[in-house]
Amino acid sequence: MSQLLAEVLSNNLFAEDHFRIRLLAPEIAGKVLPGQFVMLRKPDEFEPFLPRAYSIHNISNSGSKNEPAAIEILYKVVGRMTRLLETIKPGQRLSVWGPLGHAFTTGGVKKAALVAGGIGIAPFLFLAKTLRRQGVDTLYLFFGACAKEHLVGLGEFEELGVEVHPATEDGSCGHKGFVTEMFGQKLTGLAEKEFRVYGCGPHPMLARLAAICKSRGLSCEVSLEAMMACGIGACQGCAQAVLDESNTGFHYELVCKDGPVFDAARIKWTS
Amino acid sequence: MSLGPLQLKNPVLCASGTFGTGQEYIDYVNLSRLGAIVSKTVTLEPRLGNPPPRLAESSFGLLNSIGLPGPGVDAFIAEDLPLLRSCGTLAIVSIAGQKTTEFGELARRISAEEGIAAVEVNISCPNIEGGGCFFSDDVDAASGATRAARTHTALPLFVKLSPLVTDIVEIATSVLDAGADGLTIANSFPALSVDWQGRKPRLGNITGGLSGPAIKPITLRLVWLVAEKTRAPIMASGGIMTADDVLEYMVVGATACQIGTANFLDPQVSIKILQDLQNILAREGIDDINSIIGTLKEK
Repeated sequence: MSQLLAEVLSNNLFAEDHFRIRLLAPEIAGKVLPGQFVMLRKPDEFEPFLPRAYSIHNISNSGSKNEPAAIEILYKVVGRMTRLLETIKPGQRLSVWGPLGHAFTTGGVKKAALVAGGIGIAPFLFLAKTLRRQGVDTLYLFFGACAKEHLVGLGEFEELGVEVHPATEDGSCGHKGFVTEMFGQKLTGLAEKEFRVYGCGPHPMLARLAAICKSRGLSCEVSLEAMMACGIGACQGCAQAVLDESNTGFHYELVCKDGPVFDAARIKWTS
Repeated sequence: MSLGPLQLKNPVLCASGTFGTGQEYIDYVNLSRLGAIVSKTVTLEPRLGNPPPRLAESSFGLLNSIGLPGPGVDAFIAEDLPLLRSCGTLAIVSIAGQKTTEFGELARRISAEEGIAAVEVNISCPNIEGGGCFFSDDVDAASGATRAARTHTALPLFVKLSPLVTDIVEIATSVLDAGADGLTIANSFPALSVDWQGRKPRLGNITGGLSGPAIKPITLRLVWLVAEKTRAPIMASGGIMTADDVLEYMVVGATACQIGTANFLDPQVSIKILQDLQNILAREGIDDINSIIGTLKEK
């Protein structure tokens, strides 16, 4: 893991309330795997007080070198840190450390479905690109949001040849209702043994997704979100209840260090 | 420099519960440069820790209710202690019991191991024999826990005090009389964070401990009070973010400083503080950092 003061290369409005910030961080871009995250903070800024964890949305080259040098983060302006991030200009520097946590497992995957809720779409562009590069030819994206404007970046998935299934709570695009409902309905025609499901989104959505996958016998990995202070396993703040192997009790694991990607069947879901 | 019976290479230490076994920071910090690392608190039995959420942010501060999760002393000795020792600096082991006798048992177990520089007694935990009051809350419980540990260890013994007591000097005096070699002042402040719209506390355990720069001036006063009255060796801990914070604590009487919450905002902050400290001392023409300690001019 590396810590650096990374130069901001760009920070652009991408869709309503959604921005993409690109940071020059070759030490991280060269190592990071899909599902891993970085901790990010504006140096010497104490409002908000803590750094924030962001999954890597994409990696890209920068300058003449033919290897990844920049990391990209997709964020939605919802709170104090993202309101601060929105004001950051190219040329400014942010304190960033990573790559952190466990990545999605991609080995041996033949067909995959990515199931995203809202800003949970963030890690999936990098994941979809990686799966494609590994020769996964059948890729589905089930993407739910409150409204059409928040279904961000669908075009890029389509360009990758991903079959996209949108859902919106207000019915403004695709299936009207929750993405997990749609996923459950469409799954009937898709379910096969070598089908891997990846989920990222709000906790209740992931709990529902885990239940669907369990009932269909599909393996499912979910990327969880939790409030973190350090991101590196020291503060023990981001505890997630995980079932014991006997399934009779539970223990806590850390979303930062033991996750953020977990086998959905191991999680003690609360909703 | 001398911290009671303990010899430190510099006054910048990392606080219990914020630095793991040190290994969490190995990619970011040259651990051997630190004055010492205080381990996460070790308990006799394994503990799950508190239900999440365990963290809540506040202005210039952080509330936590982690609940001392850990594998218990056997697994600590087998797995965590070798990691702590491999950091190349002094290892101070933090212990906490639920009963007075547990402090003695933990001190005995820890002292039987090689490569431990000192024991820090965390008394900010519930005494199940005292109706759930914290050991840190009163003179008898605090001195009882200290005496139990002292009886079972020849290692330098430091007691970490709670900041929220009626008379911290009284507690400090009692634990020193019970055999402590020095003090850590202080733990986080009991606090509450509320989501008023949901009518809910933000922490799973309802209340937690407030740390960070928000509490620094309060803890600074406590260090000053105790240093003046006891002349005991003191490790200060409370909202230290910069080298200037370290020097403020030293001027009011601390010998060393424990960096805690700041580690979360910047994993390299401990080393940055150490470098800044050296630069400031050179700039000010101060040859011996010990000459700063307890030099507050009150008139």
